[in-house]
Amino acid sequence: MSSHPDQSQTGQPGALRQALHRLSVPTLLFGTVVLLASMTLSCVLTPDRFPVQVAGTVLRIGDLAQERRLLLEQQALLIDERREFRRRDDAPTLGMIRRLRRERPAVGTTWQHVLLALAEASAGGTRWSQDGVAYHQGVLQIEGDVRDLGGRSIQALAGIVDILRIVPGVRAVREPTYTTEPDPDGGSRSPATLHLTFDHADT
Amino acid sequence: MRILEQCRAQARSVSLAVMSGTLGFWVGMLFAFVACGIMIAIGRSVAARRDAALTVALELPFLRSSVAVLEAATHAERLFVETSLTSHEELAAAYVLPVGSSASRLVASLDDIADALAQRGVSVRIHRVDSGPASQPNDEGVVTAPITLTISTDDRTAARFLEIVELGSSMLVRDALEPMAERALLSALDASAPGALPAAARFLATDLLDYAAQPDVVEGRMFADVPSDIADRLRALLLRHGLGSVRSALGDIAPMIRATHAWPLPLVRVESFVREGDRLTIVLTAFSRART
Repeated sequence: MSSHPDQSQTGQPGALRQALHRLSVPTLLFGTVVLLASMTLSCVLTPDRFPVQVAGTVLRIGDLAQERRLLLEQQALLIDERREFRRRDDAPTLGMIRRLRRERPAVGTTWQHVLLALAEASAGGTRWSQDGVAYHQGVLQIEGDVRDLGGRSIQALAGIVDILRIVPGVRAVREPTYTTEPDPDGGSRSPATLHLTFDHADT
Repeated sequence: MRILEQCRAQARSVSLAVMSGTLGFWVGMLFAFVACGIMIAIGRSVAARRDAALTVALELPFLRSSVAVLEAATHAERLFVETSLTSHEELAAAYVLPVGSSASRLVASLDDIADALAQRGVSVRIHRVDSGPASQPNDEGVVTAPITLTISTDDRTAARFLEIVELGSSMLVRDALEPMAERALLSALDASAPGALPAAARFLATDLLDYAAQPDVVEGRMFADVPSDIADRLRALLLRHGLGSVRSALGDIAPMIRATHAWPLPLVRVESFVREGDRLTIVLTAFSRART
């Protein structure tokens, strides 16, 4: 009562309360209608039905989520199927062969690429000539010399080393000792021993 | 006093009546607030789902691509399993990783290959083959034996000869292709020409000698419906990652090798080689399975 001094003083409802009384029916109707409408909307307008625009295409959120779910299910099924193929172990020998084959360096192919690179390096006044070749446990050792009519055999040798570094199957090329000496046929020559480590080499 | 009591009771009833009159207003307001809350919740939920949907929409193309590649790879595997796994397993068990020593089969096959190369004007002479004792079987039952081979030929031909020896254990195109190249091929086809994925699956399961004999025809079947620029890029990828070696090493001798039944060769690893004059001494490790 202390919060309503006008009522305690007059003993009858105040003007505000009379106004609320007059508004009660319309407000109740309004509140009920709005509540029912919002509840209906929450049922009808679920977020999945809202469209989104992706890359110029309008799609419903629900469709996207459903497609993603289907794709994930399909992916899981395919992975299971592949796993089943492997678990069945119908081909133990083929599996073993595949594993052993992948663990070894491709010596013939890489040597072919190295020979091709060395042949391409012999251009113009530069010539690579080979004295010996040996391969042991992933490392190819080539002995030879570079001759350059212009007297720039060391540069030519450095160029060859750079070319060999990008040959497919070659993991590393050890820097050779760079020396130069006059070539009796003119220009200079740089004898060198090249060590090339192949991919998948043990060393 | 009675009049005062009656007045109080009347005032109380009036007050109750007024209270009940304002109750409708407060209930109406409460409903309106609840309705506002529901509307705000719907709005927030839609906004959240829209953000999530955009993330999903960005993720979907990768997921579609991943599933398509997986589907093609699984299809290739299923095709292989259903049609030729058993026969290839039998071939592999008989010739590539045989029980007992594989030296005699290897020597005979190498001789056939040297003959095939000679018919193409490429000279490889096998002078001597020595095989050493087999090792103890490892945990998987694989035994190894050293085989020393002395041949006379130039470096280019020796490298090709070794390339053939190393390819010898491959029976299908996919065996000669690096795994990353297989994945890259399927991925690229899915992105540019998904209709070609089944053809790619068949391509990967093609017999290696059939491919080596007519590589352009076999590749052409796969790339029939692929845009030419993509096909060229994929051809380059295949050449770089395994099939270039097949073409250069086996291209002109594949029909002759098939006729001699030298293929597939036993699985070997090149351990070492050294040139002395015109002779090249090669040490191979031949793999086989222990007798159980």
